[in-house]
Amino acid sequence: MAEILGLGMTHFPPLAGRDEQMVRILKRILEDPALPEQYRRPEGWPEPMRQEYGSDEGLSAARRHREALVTQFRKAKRMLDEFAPDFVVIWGDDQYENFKDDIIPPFCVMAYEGFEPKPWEAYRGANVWDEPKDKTFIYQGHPKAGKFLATRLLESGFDVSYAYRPLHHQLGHAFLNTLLFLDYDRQGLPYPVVPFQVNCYGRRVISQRGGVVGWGNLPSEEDLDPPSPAPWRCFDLGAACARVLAESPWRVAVIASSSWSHAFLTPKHYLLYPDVEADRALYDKLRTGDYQAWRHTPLAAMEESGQHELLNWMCLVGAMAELGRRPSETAFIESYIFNSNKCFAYFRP
Amino acid sequence: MARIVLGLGSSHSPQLSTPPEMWPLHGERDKRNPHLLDTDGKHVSYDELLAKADPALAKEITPEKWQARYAACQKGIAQLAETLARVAPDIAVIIGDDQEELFHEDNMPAVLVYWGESIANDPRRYMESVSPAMRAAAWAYGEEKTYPVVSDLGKHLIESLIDQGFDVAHSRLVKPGQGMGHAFSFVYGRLMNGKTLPMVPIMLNTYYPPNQPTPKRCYDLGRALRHAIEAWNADARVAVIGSGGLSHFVIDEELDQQVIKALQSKDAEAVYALPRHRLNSGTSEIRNWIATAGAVEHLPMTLIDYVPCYRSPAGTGCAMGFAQWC
Repeated sequence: MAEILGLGMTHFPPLAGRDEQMVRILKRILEDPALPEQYRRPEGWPEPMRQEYGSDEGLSAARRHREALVTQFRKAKRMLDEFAPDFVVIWGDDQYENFKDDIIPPFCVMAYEGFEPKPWEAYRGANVWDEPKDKTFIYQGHPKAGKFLATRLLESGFDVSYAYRPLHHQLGHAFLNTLLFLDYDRQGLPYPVVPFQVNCYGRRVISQRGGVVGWGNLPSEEDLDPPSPAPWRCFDLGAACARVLAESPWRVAVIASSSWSHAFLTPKHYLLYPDVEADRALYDKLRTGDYQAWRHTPLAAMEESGQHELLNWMCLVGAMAELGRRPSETAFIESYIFNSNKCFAYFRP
Repeated sequence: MARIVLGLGSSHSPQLSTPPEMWPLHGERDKRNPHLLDTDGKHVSYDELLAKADPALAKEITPEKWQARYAACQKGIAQLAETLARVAPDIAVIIGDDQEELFHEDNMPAVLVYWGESIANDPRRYMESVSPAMRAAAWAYGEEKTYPVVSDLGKHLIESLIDQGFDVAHSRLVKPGQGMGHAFSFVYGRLMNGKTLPMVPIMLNTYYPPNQPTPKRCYDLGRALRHAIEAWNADARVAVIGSGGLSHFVIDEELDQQVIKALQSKDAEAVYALPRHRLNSGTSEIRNWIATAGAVEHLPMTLIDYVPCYRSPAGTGCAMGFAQWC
């Protein structure tokens, strides 16, 4: 009989590296000569950001940030193990990794047989686990569930793409990091995985290659790409996924994986720090179950606040709204200097 | 603002461009075709089809019938080409399917709009081992050249369709060595009289489960496409061209007539009710007609001809359709 566990988390890349490197995205932004002079030093930053940066360029804050994140990942892993899903669906974005100019799908269900990524092969610097460059992780896919999901979504009026094998990249970091972090203690993660790509980066997926560019290299309005799916559409897709999975024979964990507002996507803050206020507002609505407020959030507002990746969470919130679930537990981990705020949410069946 | 001034529906089968005396060779190919479906949509072998075939089919595969049907098809194509030349739209929005020409199992979009500045055509080159009938038809699929794409309109269509609740994949690049599918090149090779009308290609995954859009979704997509085109801030006259179909590789005249009737009468409910289980394999391309009909709902449809081109005693072949909306 179908059961659904809902989880929200992050795939924050610097968590895979050392604490000394956790502030690297900010440092890259600061190195851009086009950034106005007054923002290049802590004196030009908001007070909470200065405090977090401290006198050790954020090293102490990095330790605290890691501790807070890992605590939540361990909690999520425990909950996942207790639930013992037949498979895991992860809503994640693709940042010009597997999907490039030759095709950008709005949504893509990856009904792969399995995945064998080597996360450290092209990784710069040391990883926090000291795993060797050629370390291979093996994850099972679930083609049957992927095809089932794609078929039923099509019948529900969602034009999802599907894939049986990778195109340009083995497994985008939104999915891979989620798996690596969920098993932070390397005890094993035996659940088959169905990655479900959401085109979160929309206008910036090709023009900005879904990643960090300096203040002086932001694409102009006319260089931007077509948009991502609208927030309401992602919400409705999540709801449809919940309906479909609730009628399935499986126990399924659905996971939204992304940090919230991203500094490097927030020009109004000169790419230095995320939109903490906008994230707090959505977090309050998540905790209180005001899901319709989520659904009605305009894409333009999310983009202005650097919340592009929250479209992954929009799917999760839509799914939980459909199931009538409120979060049993949440955590909001603010940061001005580590590129993004992170949220964890647990929706027990 | 832009407006749709013309709709065309055309089959694009190689059989159309093969001399009738070679049609039996297409019939020979069907003996090895793994995509034969019976009228219930079930996979069948050629021999199974043959065993159940109506003996009266023998009358459909005579040289005289082939000659007459070939002539009818050429007349249908000529009529479409003449209408296209006469109406002289500025842009062609072409709706067709991609048969693993550009998109594969590593990412199969349900609906895709191409918005690059241009798109290459990679004409069909067949080895000696390929049926002479296929080689004889290769001329129909355009030249080796790059065709212009109205990138601005493509981007606008993506944005508008997304606004209207369609989950559109997009592409702006064809990898070297690849080219647009034959659904699109046929339009240049046979309908444009040597002219090169700029286009926007829209690709529907009609063929490959599990994400073929339903008939309802295709018709609604067409309607949304019209809304999008009419909201485009350019003084352009646009033709929408549906490429493919009708039933093949097993001819299903009953289904074809059901489709034609529904489209001609603009009966959306009848379109929605078309049997999905019979819209597979080559017959799946009827979806391109459905989407086109949705886009040109405001224009009267004229069926120029329907020509069931049988090519074997098993009832295989391709039913050719030619229609215009203007």
